[in-house]
Amino acid sequence: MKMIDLYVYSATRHLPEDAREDIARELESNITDMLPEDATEEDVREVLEKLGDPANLAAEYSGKKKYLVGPDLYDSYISVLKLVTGLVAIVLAFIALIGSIINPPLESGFPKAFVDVAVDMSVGVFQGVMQSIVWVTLIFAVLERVGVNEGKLPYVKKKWTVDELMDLQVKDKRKISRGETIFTMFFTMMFAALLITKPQMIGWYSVGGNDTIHIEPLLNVQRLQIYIPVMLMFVAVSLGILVWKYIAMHWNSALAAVNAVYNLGICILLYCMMQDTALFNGSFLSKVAELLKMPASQIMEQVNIQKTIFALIFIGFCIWDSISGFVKSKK
Amino acid sequence: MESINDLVNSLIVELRRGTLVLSVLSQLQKPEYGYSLVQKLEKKNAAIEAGTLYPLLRRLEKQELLSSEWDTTESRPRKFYVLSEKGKQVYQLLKSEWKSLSNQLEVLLMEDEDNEND
Repeated sequence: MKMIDLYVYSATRHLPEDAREDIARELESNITDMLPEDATEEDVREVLEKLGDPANLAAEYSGKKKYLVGPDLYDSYISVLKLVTGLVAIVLAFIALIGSIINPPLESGFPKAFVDVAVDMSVGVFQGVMQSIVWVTLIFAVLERVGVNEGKLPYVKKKWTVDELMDLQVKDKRKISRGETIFTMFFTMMFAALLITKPQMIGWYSVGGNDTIHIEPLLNVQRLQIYIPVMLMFVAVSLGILVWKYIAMHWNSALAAVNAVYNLGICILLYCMMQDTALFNGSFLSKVAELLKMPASQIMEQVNIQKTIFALIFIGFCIWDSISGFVKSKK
Repeated sequence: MESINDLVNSLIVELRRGTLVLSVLSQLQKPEYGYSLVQKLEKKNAAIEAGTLYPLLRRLEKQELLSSEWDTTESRPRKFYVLSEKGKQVYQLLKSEWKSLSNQLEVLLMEDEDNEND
């Protein structure tokens, strides 16, 4: 009887706990019914093979979706996948190129340096594209499971009526331009890639002796590391929202609400980073002070003013963006 | 020829899949347990794979078309399923739908035979 126990176990072990025991009991009783009196091992074998692969049985019992992205979302999935991988490839190639222009591997001689740059670039682009495939697929698998296309979520999909055709003109006011979304996506990726992989490239560029370019980074690269996980999370959420905009093509209340929450979050993150004096590179400040011929005491004051102005503009923009989302969704 | 056979087989599977629920509901006016239902359907030449039927019974129960009860009075406990009130209604509706469908199809297929005979 050990074979039956194993079969039942393997057909039920991945099922939800509340149903598992009852299904196991029923399956076992069904199997026993299918066997003749005084069943031999051969009989058991036959019956179990007739029932087939326990994995299939388990899938039938659980009734869960056996696909990542269904036919309703498939078209959007493919178009977003092409868009995102394309953008990622361009962004990463661009960053690698800038990196090698500013910091050329001159010491290794011309042909080899060229090959090095090309190899670095291809490897970076390949890894980035792979990563983006994973993330896009993950986002779509989640969308599929929360039922974006089954009318389970409010605002997302309603039954189509002819009124929608009449609404087209009204809807134009709610339209989210795809060009704008792609543009924002491109710069989000560019900025994130720069900040996360090459923060030392954001800084004060000056030509030093023997025509080499010297960069004095704005940020303390080591200190920045602690913000990287949070920033990655923000980038992921932001790209998620952009993908949503790209598919939905029109503002709706849910999208506007998520957008506002995201804006609030990023303002809080910015505030924390601004308050963190250790995040800014001291030598950058002295460099600026030197260039502006300003005493070091005054430069701090100036920097604080600049920071405040930047923060105010940023927060102002976020508030405007959040409100405009809501206003457009109500049109 | 092989590919035609494959195609026909998969189409037959699809055709039969649509009739599964109706066949099961029709046989559950009185309580049955998993294997007794398998045998009953087999006897009436409407066999359904045990591996398909057992999960289907649970699914129909979840949709409240069937109600179930464990019978522990026998030597071996068995789970019996029977049509619920909702199940009876659904069965009647499906049954009349099936009848009209099969009449429609009959007309279509007859028409075709007439043409062939011309």
